[in-house]
Amino acid sequence: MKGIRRWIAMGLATVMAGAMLTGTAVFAEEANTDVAGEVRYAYWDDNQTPYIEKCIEEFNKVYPNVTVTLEPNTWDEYWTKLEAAATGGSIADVFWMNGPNITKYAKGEILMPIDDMIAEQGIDVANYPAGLVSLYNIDGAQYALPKDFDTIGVWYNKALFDEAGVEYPTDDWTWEDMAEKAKALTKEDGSVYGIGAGFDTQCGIYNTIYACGGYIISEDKKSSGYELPETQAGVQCWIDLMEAGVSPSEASLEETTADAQFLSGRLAMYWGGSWFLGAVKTSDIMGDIDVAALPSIDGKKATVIHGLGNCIYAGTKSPEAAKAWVSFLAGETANLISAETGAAIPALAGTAAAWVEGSPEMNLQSFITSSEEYSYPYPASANTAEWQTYEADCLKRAFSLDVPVADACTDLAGQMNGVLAAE
Amino acid sequence: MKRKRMSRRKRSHILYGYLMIAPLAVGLGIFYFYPFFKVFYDSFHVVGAFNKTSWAGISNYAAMFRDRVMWSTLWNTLRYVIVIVPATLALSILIAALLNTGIKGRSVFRVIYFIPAITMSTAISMIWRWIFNGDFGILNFILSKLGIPAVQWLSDPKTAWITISIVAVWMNVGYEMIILLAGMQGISRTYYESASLDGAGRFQQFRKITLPLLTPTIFFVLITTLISTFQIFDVIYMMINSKSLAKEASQSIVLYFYRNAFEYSKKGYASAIAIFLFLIIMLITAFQMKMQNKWVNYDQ
Repeated sequence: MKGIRRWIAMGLATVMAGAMLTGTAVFAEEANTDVAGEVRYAYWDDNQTPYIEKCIEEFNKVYPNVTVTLEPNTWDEYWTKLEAAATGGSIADVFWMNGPNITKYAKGEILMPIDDMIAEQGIDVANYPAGLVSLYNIDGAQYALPKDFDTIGVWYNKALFDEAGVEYPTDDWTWEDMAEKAKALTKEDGSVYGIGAGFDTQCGIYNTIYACGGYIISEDKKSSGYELPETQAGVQCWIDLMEAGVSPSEASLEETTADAQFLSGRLAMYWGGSWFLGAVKTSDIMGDIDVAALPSIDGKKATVIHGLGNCIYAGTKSPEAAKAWVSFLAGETANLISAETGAAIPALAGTAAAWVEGSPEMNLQSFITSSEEYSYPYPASANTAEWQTYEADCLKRAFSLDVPVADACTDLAGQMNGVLAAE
Repeated sequence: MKRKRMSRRKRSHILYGYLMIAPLAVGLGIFYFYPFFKVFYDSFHVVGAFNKTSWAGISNYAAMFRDRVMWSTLWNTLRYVIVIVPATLALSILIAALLNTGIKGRSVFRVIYFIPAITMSTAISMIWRWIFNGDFGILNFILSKLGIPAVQWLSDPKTAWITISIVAVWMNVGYEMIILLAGMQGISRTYYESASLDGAGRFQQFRKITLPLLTPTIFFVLITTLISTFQIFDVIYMMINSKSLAKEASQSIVLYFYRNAFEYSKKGYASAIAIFLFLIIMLITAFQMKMQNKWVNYDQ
């Protein structure tokens, strides 16, 4: 796999060099009138519409004969609608994809592999976070290039730290440091808790499971990792926080989510994704909030990396136009627009700096550093949604302290293996 | 000669009749009968993501009868029916009877009680979710003033289904109340006049005149609430998320059907559940139809 990628990269380098020699640089704003057609583009985050509209403007300077029509959706209805549209054949030509769904759509033969496009357009996949490139690589074929990425950090409320006289976290802190701080920050009357330690996958246990050396799903996607002691240790550390009473109960965090409790000043620390920046910026306590890298567990750090991809419908009527649009979105111009509008951290190497500089008062660099140094892909298989249901069902009982972690995990491993075997 | 002309007229009469019902019949055909047979067909197939279909025989049904979660959701649904239907009936008869008297401002009350029936159930659920919130909800706030400790209404498996039932009854009452009120106003005044001449009190009049003469309406309300409660979905879907601690204890059978079809991509299995629910409702409704002779009074 690595070898193939290197070959592609070398091939691309040659193409690029050739292009420069003949004076037709890949990113030159010279109109390409050969490619024509209509591209319908479906996505779920309306906050990103300004970014997309700006991209279309720039895109049309290069491809004046391609019309991009937007199909915005809400998150809640996106996947139901997308599946129905894919079934009926009326799906958009290009659409957003995520980790939990990529395998299902790739194996369902809804998506067009883009390996040849990557080669033709001279795109170097090494310029994108490796964990994300492999997320969209199913059975050796690449189906999407990451559009953006997100990693997890610990958001904290400086005002609550000051009040309790606790030192702010630093990027090299450990899990024990965090547990101690959480204890010192918790108030007896329940008005402030040190941390939100409720059940969460991407912002919670997935990170600690990797840091403890376990995994959620095996590499061949055939078996669950929840029977491993390492994986169980990654769940247990959260239960320890729950038992120490430094977090609101699982039931409380279920009715009012941790992010809402954090922004209302009830939690001093909150494990959240880089996407949380948007909510921070519109909150009343923005000036009090900063972020640190995730703490290390026994010297090991880990964060889940995830990011969206742009996929092309296998049955699209204008494949050339769709490819042009997707490769434009993967390119430098589109990534810089994403950074400047603050839509999301752009995935192309070197373009994330603008996103970090947008909020110089916060330690946003930690999200970039973690993505480069210790990021692990979001675990997914063909029927991710189903085993994630069992994951929540089983583990929540451990988080509400009704069942020991080992029992909950063994139970889950059995159910998960059943789903994986049926895939 | 004369006869033939009559029959031609009759025939064109029939033709017009069919033309008139055609729009409705076509609509019903496309949106009810076709989906019904499709669901029946799918229930004997494995229908995965993107409708990839393969023959499965009765394996969906066999799996369903072995599925512990299916039985627990069926029990949840029965529990909703047992609580919500009688509570809705009793409350809406009571309110309708009160609004049928000459109390002051009754038209205002009628509007107030009817408002939930014309409000989006999603909006209602959102409001109730906040009222029942364990940490910040107004209900727990009032209870804490009375010295009662906080209850996690929506995330505790023991209370979640009660919370759902309360909201469902609250939503049902307005609509059923209007129907019952209409039924009450259809009862001739003369019965009450002669009863009061004979010296019957208000309560006696209600018991001996209103209730028996209202039985056709009560029967109608009973059947419709029963069917709609068997199909309870939106309140639970809105108030208890799919990863809640209380999910299994509060999930109804229609919600389980929905999750199988649209979240787990198991449409064939979901279809088998839908057929099973259809049979249950049909049996219960048939039973009620048979039983109605025993208590419903149609001669006024």
